[in-house]
Amino acid sequence: MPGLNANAQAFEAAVAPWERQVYFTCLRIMGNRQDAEDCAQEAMLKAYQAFSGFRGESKVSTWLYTIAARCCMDALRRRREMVSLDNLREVGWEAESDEPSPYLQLEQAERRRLLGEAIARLPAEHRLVLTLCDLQGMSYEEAARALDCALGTVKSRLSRARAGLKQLLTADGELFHDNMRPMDEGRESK
Amino acid sequence: MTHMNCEQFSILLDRYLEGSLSADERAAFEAHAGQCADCRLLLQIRRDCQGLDDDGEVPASFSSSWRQAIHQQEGMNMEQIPETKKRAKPPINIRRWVAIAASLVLVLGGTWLVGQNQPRHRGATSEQTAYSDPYAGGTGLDNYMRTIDGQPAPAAMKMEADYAANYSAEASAIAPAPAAQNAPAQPQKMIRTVSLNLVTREFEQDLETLNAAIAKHGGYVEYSDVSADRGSRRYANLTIRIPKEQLDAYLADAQQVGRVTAYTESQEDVSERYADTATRLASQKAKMERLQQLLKQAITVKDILEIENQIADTQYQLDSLTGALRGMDSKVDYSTVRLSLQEEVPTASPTELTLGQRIGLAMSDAWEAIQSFLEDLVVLLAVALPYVLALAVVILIVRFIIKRRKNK
Repeated sequence: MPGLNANAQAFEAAVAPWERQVYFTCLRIMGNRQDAEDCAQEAMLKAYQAFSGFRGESKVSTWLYTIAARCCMDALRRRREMVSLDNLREVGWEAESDEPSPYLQLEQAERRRLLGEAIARLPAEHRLVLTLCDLQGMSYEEAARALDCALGTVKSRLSRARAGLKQLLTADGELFHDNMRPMDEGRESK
Repeated sequence: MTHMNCEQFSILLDRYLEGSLSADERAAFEAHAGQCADCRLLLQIRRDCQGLDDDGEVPASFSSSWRQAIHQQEGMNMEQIPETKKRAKPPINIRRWVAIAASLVLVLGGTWLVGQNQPRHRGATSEQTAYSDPYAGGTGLDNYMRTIDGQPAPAAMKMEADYAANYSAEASAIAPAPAAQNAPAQPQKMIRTVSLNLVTREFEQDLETLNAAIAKHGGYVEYSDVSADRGSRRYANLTIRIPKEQLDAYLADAQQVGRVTAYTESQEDVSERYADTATRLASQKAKMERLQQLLKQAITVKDILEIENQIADTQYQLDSLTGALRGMDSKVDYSTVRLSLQEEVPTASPTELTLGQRIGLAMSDAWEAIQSFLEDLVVLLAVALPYVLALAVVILIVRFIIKRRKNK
């Protein structure tokens, strides 16, 4: 049946350019490759099933990230990582020290590695908004719709996520203290 | 803007990254970044976030397996496609249909509400007809138990003609028409569950008839128990599974047996859950194939162990998803009927109501009606009270204002 094939081909053509970003969205939210791949795969299938209903109200990328984020949320719930944020420590905006962070002196590749680690240490809810807004460039409104929460929630989580990152990457942040330990491997090899 | 503090900096950060600041704003922004190491760090983090995964590599397994999965899905969708096409076509004038549907809902809902407000106990006594025929005592309970414990019941027994004539009319009056007749297009994955309570005087015969009907329609008994308080009434509780196509035919047969005192039917649509599980199964299958390929290519022991580990995980997922699908299939394909057959002990004396009894009944009916009317009235008052109070306050205020104006 050629018509059916055309459907899958049209889908493939439309989403292929975003494939990597879908994967990395999942990777940043889930924090490890195994889960990221499962979620990204599930997201692609769900997107395929919903493709006939997609009318272009939003950008293809936004639509895909939304589906991916929801798959990740489901997976996080199954993993029971979506905990209440009430008992998490609050991170303020106030600067602690005047000395410039070593982060600024690093090469780009090294900065990205550290940043990736810092993101992985954020709580799941913060990772979700940060990934959608700051990594994938979705607007606050789009993120609120994608995560099915209030605009104010997105804003407050995002600012806490950013503050958390900054704190992790300042001179006396944790990452520069236990930097000797190869954290990435510990996380991945499970 | 010449001087900027950290808070203003963070507010403008988004627009700076978009490139939508004015020249002045940008100069002040960059000047602040030059002075404040903290804000410089913030800016650097945001910039790095934007390009964080620009050079990252997408795993080949993901790249190939989602493509594989959607092509597999295509195959699965083959049967469903005509329906989706049908659904996509008709909305020529969807608004009109929505309007018609809405008014139907309004009219039907209104009627139902009115019906709800009728006294609830009306006519309850008419069901309490008693049987005047003497009880044709069958064989003893022990004898009966042997029949049940032993082999499947023999073929359907002939029922007494007058008995059938007496009760089939009543049965069809209470039991609703089989669902297949009034529901035109059923969604794909429906679990139908029916529970049916029957009352009979010919306990053994009817139970055998029921059992024979199960065999006739290709069903099976999942659970059965028969109990009795000695010398009086016997009960049989059966849980039966009937192929879904045969359900209506079986129910029609079953309702010929005895008198129907209760009939409930429920339908659960599991299409979505089913599709969801099928999707996850397809994706796990694709992953499994990919892993098998990877395993062939793997060289080091570490890689092999790693992949085998993942294969074990994936296999577990595959098994549990397949099991879930099978479970749903079985529930969809075989409808569940919970049947209870209760023996009826005929009352000794015919109860032709005397005039006095009828008056008494009518009076108690009327009393119940009044009671339930009063209850409804109290409920209505309780609901309306807040509105009435609010209205009263508004009226008082308006009157107060008018008075003051007049006084002026």
